[in-house]
Amino acid sequence: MKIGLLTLGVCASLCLSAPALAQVSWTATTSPIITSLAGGPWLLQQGGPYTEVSGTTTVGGPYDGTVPYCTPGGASGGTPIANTPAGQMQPFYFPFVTGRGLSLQGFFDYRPRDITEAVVAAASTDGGQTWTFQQQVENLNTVCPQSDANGTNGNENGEGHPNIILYGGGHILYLLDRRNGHADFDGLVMHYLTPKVALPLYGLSSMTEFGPPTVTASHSPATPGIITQWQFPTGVGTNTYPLPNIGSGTANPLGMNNSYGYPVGCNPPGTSCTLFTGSTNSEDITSTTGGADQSYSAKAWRIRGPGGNTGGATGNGWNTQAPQYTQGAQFLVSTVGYYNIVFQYDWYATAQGPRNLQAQYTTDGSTWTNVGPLYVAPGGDAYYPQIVINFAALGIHTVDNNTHFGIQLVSAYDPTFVGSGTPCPTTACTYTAAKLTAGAPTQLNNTSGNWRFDEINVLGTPALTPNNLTLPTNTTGLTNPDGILASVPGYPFKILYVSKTLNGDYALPTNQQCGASPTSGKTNHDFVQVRIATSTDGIHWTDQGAVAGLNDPTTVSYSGIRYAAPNGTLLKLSTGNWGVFFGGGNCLDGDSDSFHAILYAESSNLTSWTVVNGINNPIASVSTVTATDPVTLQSVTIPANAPVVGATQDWFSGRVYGPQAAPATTSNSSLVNLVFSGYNSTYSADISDYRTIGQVQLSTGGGVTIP
Amino acid sequence: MALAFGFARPSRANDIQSTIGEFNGAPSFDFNPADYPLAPVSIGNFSFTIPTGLGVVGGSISGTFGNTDVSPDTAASDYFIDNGAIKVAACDDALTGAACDTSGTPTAWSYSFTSSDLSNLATELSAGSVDFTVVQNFAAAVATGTTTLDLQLSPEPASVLMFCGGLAGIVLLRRSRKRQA
Repeated sequence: MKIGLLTLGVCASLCLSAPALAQVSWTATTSPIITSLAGGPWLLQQGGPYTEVSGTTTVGGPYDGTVPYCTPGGASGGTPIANTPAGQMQPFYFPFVTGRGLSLQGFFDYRPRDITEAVVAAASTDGGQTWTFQQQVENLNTVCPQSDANGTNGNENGEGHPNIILYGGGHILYLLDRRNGHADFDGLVMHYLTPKVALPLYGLSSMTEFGPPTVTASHSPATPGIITQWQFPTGVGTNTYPLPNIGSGTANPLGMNNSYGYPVGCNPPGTSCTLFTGSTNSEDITSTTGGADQSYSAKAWRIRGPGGNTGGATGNGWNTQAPQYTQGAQFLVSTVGYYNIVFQYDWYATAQGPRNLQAQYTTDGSTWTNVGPLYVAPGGDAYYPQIVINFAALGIHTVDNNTHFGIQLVSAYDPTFVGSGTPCPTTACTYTAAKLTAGAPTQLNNTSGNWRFDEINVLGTPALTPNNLTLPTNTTGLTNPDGILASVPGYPFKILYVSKTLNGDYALPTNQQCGASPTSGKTNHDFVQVRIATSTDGIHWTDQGAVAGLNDPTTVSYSGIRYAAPNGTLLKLSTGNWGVFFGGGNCLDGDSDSFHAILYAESSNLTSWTVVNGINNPIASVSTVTATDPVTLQSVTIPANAPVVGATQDWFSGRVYGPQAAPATTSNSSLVNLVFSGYNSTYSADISDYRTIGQVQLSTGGGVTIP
Repeated sequence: MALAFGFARPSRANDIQSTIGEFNGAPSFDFNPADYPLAPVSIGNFSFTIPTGLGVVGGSISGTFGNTDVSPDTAASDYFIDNGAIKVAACDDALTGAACDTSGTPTAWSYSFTSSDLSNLATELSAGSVDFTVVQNFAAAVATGTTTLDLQLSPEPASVLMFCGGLAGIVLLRRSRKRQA
């Protein structure tokens, strides 16, 4: 017995004292540097000052600067100027680096603003500090002659985010199809590579296989993801039957033209009263602050029918004698070409507006079916913001790709009403007012009150026609892929990929949507997840679901990681854990491109991650921001702690992402050479310093190695 | 497909070496296991000259799966000499990624000849040429680094007999002269 207890005790103490797997605590052994490129295409420094005038209109720069992009340049065209002999590696970003030790192979997204986009290969023999040009392929444009707008050539939206799966001596290149209407919808563009010595992109064509780009792609919704939207941004008036500001569809008031009579002033029954009859629709656009649009100038669509009364009293259209589900608003929107339909709206009820709302949908234009719960107005004169009906989540797909899709938002009886009122056929139920009296609902008064609607969105995923490319081809099975974050060595293929649904967070409650960025003023509504997928051929993928812990697409905290970017690095550590470097961002950025900081996380299973270096203790970060956090409402400074690589430098003060960590030795390395990309914070106005490839060396501290 | 060839150079006193340069096979992005293995492909020939009077008494062949110029990894594959009769290396676990496919750097391998191997190779060794082939067992492409054939030489038995006979003759001659003196 004693021996047993002793054994148990020893085992218990050993278990308790067993150290958890050590996480890497990265330190920098060098300061970040701008890398250089020998040979290859034109570099930023070969152009003149390049300043944005408005929108994408620029002066100076590659096209008509002191040294033009093309020689002789301007509209005269000529030939592109080459980079000679060597210069700072700009404008390149989204690096992808393979190899270990000092000899590295790099692939880069070459993307001079408004000019072109291409994939460039370069090699390094010093751990990524300097690079030598090898190849440039998949060019979007012939670039000369050139213009700043370059609209007819498709500007800079070609094939981007190069990422390669290395397997068994074969290389598979994946690129984002960045063309309008294709980016983040189509599968990734895939090329099998047949590399030769010093020609890692051998076999790829000089120009993109997509052919001449077009200004308007065949699958270009007005705003990707939004089929139709009513925001009532301007105009105040009556009988508007308001047109949508995005897409097409009709909005109709329901039941406001009626002939219902109602005795006014005889409640309780038995008292003398006046009977009025009839209402005439008088819906309008009116100023209403609140809901998703918090500006004081916000407007909403008001549903009421105060006109056309007879009998000497004044009704307001909403009437207790109206059959249930017959008064409210109706929206008819064709969803042809879209699936996974989401409907969302802000609902406002005045104090005397009906208290209960029921949503109904139709797939044939005539038969209406209840969908979602019975909503209760919040007390009167208040918004119920961003009510969401996610048909895909409800398993309703008959609304997909449907000419006759429609939604009705209609008044319903209050099931909680217990006072005397107009009797229903079987129970004493009626419509009640949004504002309670002594904590209890009271019957609708029929003479005042209305409903208003705003921020009405019908969302869907475009059912695009595939590119039908033979080679290259598009991947299948990846959900709105934005690019590969990292691939797991071995076979079958397994990847972590970034799934980006443009404007997808409209399906989230308002308090999970980003507000305007305190720095850029921009608001982003994309929904970004890191997901896992597997494949046996690199083309056909099976999605295995979202990973946990890397990013939280619902967080609005400035300390949270809402977005993650493609082109990170996955490392197998001596502890048995996986480590991943990745670019991350949040609502501070007003953009979902995940460029706020380079972050690091670890996992034992690839699906559940623990962030080691987050937004507030990053590997590298853009410039410090001080703002009021939307969650805590406290002033916060982001990052709260100094980044691992030290002070932020100008050339990555605006964006920093795409971390490529190459072990510095061929085995058991405790050092990594980190190649990444950055933008100067002034890039939106002065694009003479952006898309820069940088390098820094990090150390695990020696306790953990990369075998 | 890279053209590979061998050459010989002097090594230790009684060794010779022959090498074949890096090899990069034609990629096959067919991921149907039923379509494998592929037909043998020649990587090259080891060429050498064994000095007169010396014989091969041992040897080895060594190389890397993957190379530094094109790909650090190689397809699942088996490597042979003697027209496929002697398997000298195998990288057959690439399907699971468990072996030579995941390091990101070329992986070294080596094989030492048995006496049976040397016996089977007798014709090739005497001709100064040993073939080196690969059989690809799955996607995607065979990539090898420099492969080295190392042969350990020793005087042939006949030469030893002649040498010993001569030595014995010298000894006998000297003894005969001593007796005469």
